[in-house]
Amino acid sequence: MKQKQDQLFREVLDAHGPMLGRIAASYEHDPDLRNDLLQEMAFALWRGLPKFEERSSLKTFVARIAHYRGASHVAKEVRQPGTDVLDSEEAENMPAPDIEVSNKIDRDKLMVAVRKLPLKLSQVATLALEGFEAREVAEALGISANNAAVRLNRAKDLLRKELRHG
Amino acid sequence: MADDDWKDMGAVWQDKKSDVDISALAKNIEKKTRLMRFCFFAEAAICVFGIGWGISWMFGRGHETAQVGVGLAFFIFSVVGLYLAWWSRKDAWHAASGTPLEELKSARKRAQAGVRYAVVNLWFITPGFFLMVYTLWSVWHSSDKTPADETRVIATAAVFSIALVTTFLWALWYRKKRLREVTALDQVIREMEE
Repeated sequence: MKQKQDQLFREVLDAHGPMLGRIAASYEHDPDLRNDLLQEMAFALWRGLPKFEERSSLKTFVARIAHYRGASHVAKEVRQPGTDVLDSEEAENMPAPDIEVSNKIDRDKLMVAVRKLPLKLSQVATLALEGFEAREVAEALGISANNAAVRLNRAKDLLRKELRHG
Repeated sequence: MADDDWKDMGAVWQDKKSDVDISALAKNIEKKTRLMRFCFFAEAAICVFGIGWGISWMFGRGHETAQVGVGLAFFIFSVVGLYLAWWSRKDAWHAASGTPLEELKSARKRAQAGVRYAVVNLWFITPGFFLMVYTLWSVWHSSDKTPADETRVIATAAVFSIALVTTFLWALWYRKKRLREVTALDQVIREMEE
C-alpha cells in the first residue's frame, strides 16, 4: 500500500513537478523560502494523493493542493498583500498602450508581474498560463466558472498592462 | 487576436525551466516522513514512560500526600505531553482535500485553536507553580524524609522551574505567532471572497 503510494507520488512529481515549481515561484521570490514552500506542497501532495478520487484530472488536483499551500504560505509568512500588489485602479490609470505585447516576453518579468497580482487573480493567472481551461481553473480553486472567467479577464488585463509598462 | 499574446505568455511561462530536482524532492519527502514518524514515536514513548512513572509515584510509595502530588503532576504533564505530541503534528499531517478557500478557513480555525491553547497554558502555569511549591515543601518538611528525598526535591524543583518558565515564554511567543497568522489568514480569506 505504502509502496504503491510512494510510486504514484514519484510519478506525479515527474509529471507535474515543473508545474509545482512554477506555482511555488509565483508565490515566493526568495529562493530559500520558495524551496521550503515547494517541500510543503510536495508533502501535502504526498498526504493528499490517497484522497484523489478522479472527479477532476490529476493535474487539477495537484494544482489545487499547490495553491492551497501557496495561500497558506502567504498567510504564514504574513505577507501583506498591497505592498507591491498591482490593483485594477492603478492599471486603469496607466496610459493606453499603442503596441501589442510582443512575443519577446521576458520570463522573469512575467513571473514578477504574476507575483504582483492580487492573490485571487494570480491564482487564476498561473493556472491559465499552465494551460488550464476556465472550467478547470474553477474546479481547482473551488469557484464558479463565471467567477473564474471574470477573474481571468481581469488578471489578463492587469498582466498585459504590467508587462507593457512595468 | 486578443488572446494571441496570452498564448505567447503561456508558452513563455511553461517554457520556464523549473530548477526542481524531482528525485531529490521525492527522497526528501520520504526522509521527512520517516523522521516525523520517528520523532512522534520517540516523544510518545517518553510520555508513556512519564505516565508510568507518575502512576508509580502515586501508588507505589505508601500513598503520602506529597508523593501523590508529585506523581499526579508528572502524570498530568505526561498526558498533556502525549496529547501535544499528536496535536502539534496534526496540522502537518492534515491532508488537503477541499478547495483552497475551504482549506484556508480550516487553517484559520487551527490558528485560532492555537491561540486558545496558548492562553490555556498561560492560565495553568500559575496554579502549576503553586502546586509544585506546595508539593516540594511538603516532601521537604515531612518527618520521615531521607537524604535521597532531599536530593529528589532539589532535582524536581529545578526541572519543574525550568519547565514552567520555558512553557510560559513559549506560550507568550506561540500566542503572538498564531494571532499574527489569524490576522493574515483573515486578510487572505477576505481577499479571496471578494
